[in-house]
Amino acid sequence: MKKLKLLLLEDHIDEAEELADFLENNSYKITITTTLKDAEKQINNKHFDLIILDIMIQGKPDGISLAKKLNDNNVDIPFLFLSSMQTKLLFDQAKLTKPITYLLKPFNKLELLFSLELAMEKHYEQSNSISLNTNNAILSPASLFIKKNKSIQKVTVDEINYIEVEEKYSSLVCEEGNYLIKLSLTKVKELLSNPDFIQVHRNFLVNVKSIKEIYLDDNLIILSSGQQIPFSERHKAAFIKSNPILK
Amino acid sequence: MTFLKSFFVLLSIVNLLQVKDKKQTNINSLKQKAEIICKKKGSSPFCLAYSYYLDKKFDSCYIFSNQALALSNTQDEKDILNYIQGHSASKKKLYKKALQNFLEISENPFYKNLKHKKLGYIYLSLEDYEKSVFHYSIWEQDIENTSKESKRISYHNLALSHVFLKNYSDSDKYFKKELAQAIIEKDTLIYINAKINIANAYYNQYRDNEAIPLFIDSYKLAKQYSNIELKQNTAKNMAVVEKNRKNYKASVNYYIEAGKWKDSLWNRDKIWELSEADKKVALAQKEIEIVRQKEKLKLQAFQKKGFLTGISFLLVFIAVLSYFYRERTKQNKLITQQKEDLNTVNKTKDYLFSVVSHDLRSPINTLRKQHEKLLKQVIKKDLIGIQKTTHTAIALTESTYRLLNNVLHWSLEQSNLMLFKQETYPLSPIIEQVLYDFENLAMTKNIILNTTLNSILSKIDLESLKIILRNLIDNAIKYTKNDGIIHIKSGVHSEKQCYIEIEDTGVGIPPDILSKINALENIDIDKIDRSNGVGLGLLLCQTLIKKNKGTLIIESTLEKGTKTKILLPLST
Repeated sequence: MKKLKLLLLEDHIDEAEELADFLENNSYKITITTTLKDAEKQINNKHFDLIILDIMIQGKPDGISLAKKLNDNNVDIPFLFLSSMQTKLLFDQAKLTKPITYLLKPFNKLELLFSLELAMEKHYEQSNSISLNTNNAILSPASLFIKKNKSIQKVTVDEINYIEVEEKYSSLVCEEGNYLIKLSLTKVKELLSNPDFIQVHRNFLVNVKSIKEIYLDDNLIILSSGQQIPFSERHKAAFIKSNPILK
Repeated sequence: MTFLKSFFVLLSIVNLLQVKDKKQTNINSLKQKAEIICKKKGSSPFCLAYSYYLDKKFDSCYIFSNQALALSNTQDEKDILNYIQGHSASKKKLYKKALQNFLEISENPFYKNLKHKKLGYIYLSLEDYEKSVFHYSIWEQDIENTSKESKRISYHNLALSHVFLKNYSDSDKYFKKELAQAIIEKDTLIYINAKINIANAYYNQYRDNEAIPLFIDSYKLAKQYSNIELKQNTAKNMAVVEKNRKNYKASVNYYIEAGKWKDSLWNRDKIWELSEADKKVALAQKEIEIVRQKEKLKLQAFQKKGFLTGISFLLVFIAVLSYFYRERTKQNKLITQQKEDLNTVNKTKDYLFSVVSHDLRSPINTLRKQHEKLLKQVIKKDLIGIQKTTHTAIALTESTYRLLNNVLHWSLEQSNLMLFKQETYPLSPIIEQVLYDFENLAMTKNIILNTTLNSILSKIDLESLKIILRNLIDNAIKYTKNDGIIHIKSGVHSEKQCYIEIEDTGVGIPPDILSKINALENIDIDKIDRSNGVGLGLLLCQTLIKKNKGTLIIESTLEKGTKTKILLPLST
C-alpha cells in the first residue's frame, strides 16, 4: 500500500501550507507549487496521482488553463479545483471533456477529503464507489485506489491475487484484503488489459504471478496465498493452448 | 346556233358518262384480269398504275403505266397498261397519245371491243369522223358485253359522227337507237336529251315535220321535269321553231317562258349570291363582334391585371404592416418582460440593501461593542469575562458570516449565476461534512447532535444541498435551548424519494408563522416578513429545494420542537 502523491497549485503560501500539513497528516504526499510554470515543470518531472488546483492564481484563471493544457495533451491525472466563487462564468471558461470536481472555499477538512474521493471517482468514471462504502475501491489500469481510514491509498495491480465476481460487483482479493469494484468482470479485464491476469473461470480472473500450483486433472489452481480457485474446462483448454509446455 | 349549243351540252354529258363506263362488263373482265396479274406481281409499277387508275388519279396512273409498260413482258399486261394509259391520256385530253395507246392494244377478242369503242371516241374527239364511224362500226359488231349506258353513249357518238359526215339517214338510225337505249334506261333527263338530239338532227336536215313533234314532246316532258335548264332549253328550242314557222306570237310566248326560266335560273343563282352576300355580311358582323369581344377581353384582361396588381400591392402592404406590428408587439413584450425583470432585480436590490443596512449593520455594531468590552476586560484582566465575550463574538461572527453567505447565494441564484448540476451523491458524507462545521456551536450550547444515517444515493446539486442543510441546522441550533438534542436522520421515503430529517427539541414555531412559512411555496420577497422571523435563509432553502426537484415539509409543536423534512429525488 502506497501513499498518493498530490500536486498543489496555490498562490497563497499560508493556505497552501495549512492544506499540505492537513493532507500530510492524512497520509498524502504533497508537492506545493505557486505558479503555473512551476506546476508544469513538476508534472513533467514526476508522477502525480491527483492535482489540486486553485483556479485563480494571482488574479488569472491559471488553474483552468493548466487543466485544459493537461487535458489537451491527454495527461491522465484527476483534478480537484478550489474556488472561492461559485459562479458559472468561471467554470464556463473551462470546457473540459471530463466532468470537473470543485470545492468552494472556505471548506472544512471533511469536505476536502470527500472532494478528493469525488475527483478520483469522476476521473475514473466509477462514481459512488469509495465515497459510498469503505469496502469499495477505484480501479485504474496500473493501480487500485482504496480507502484507508479517511484517506485514499493505492495498491499496484500486481498485488491483486485474483478477482472474483460478486453479484453486480467484482471483488479484488489482495494480500491486505478484499475490495469491491463497481464494474463487471469483463469490464475489469478490459480496463486492466494486463497479460498477467487470465480468466480461469466464468467468475474468476487470476494473477499468473500469484499461482503456486495447478492441478489440471482436478481443475484446481492453488495460489501462493493458499487460496483455491476453480479451473473451468473451457478456460483450461484455452490456457493449455497458449502454454505449449503444459502439453 | 341552237343545236350547236345542244351538242356542247351533250358532249359534256358524254364525258360525264364516260366515267360510269367502268361498270361495263368488258371493263369488269379487264379489271379482273388486272387484279389477277397484280396479285402475282405484288407491289410493282403495274399494280401502282392500276391502283391509281381505280382511284382516278390519272396523272400518276399515266406515269406509272409508262414505267410498267417498259417492264411488262406479256401481251395481256401490255394491253391492260395501254388501255389504262390511254384512258388516263384521254381524261387529260391528250387524245393523240391516247390514240397511240389504244392502237397498240392487240386484236385479242378480249380487248377488241373495248379498243374500238375507245378509238371511236378518240377519233370523234379528234374530229376524224370517218375513222370514228369505222371503229364504232367494228365495236357494233359485238355489243353483247357492253353496258346499257355505254351503248347509248356510243350510239350517240356514232350518230354525231354521221351528223358531221352529213350521213343523215345513218345518224337518224343511231339517234333512234340512242333513244331506244334511253327508254331502256328509264331516265327522264337522258330521254329528253336524246329526243332533243334527234329533233336537232332532223331540224338540221330541214325535216321539220319530224323534228317539230319531237321538240314539242321534249318541251312537254321538260315541263313536268324539275330541271330548269332543260325547261329553258326546250322552251328556247320551241321559240326558234315557232319563229322559223313565222308563228311570232307563239315564239314570243316561248321566248318569254325561256326568259322566265332563265330568270328563275338567274334568281336561283342570285338567291345563292344574295345568301352568299348575306353570309358575308353576317361574317363581317361576326368578325366585328369578334374584334369587339377581343377588345372587351383585352379590357377585361387589363382590368384583371390591374386588379391583381392592386391586390398584390395591398397584400404586400398588409404583410409589411403586420410585420411591423408584430415587431412592435414583440418589442413591447420584450419591454414588458424587461420591465418585470427590472422590477424583480430592483426588489432584490432593495431587499439586499435593507439586509445590509439592518441585518448586517447591527451585528457588526454589536461585534464592535463586544470588542470594546473585551478591551476593558483585558485591562481589568477579567479572564472569565474575556472568554465569555470572545465566545459571544465568535458566535456573532459565525451567524453574520452565514447571513453574508445567504445574501451572496441568494443574489447568485436570482441572477442565475449559480453553478448548478444535479449528480448522484451519497447523502451521509455530505450531512456529516455540514454537521462538522456546527460541532463547535452545538458544544457551546451543550446541544447533542445525533445522527442516524443510511447510505443513500440521491440526485442533487452538491453545493445547493450544503446551503440548505447549513441553514436548516443553523435554525435548529438557534431555536433549541441549551442541553437540547438535535436528531438528524436520512432514509428512503418512497420509491422515488429519499429524505433528510432534522428534528429538534426547540421552542417550536407558532402555527400562524408556520402557515406563513408553508405558504412560501410561491415565494416573493414582498411576502417576507423579517420582523416575524421568516428570513432569507428559509426563503433560500425553499427555492433551492424546489430547484433540486425536492419538497420541504415543516412540522412543529410549540415548546416541544420542530421536525424539518426534505424530500429529494432518489438515485439508484
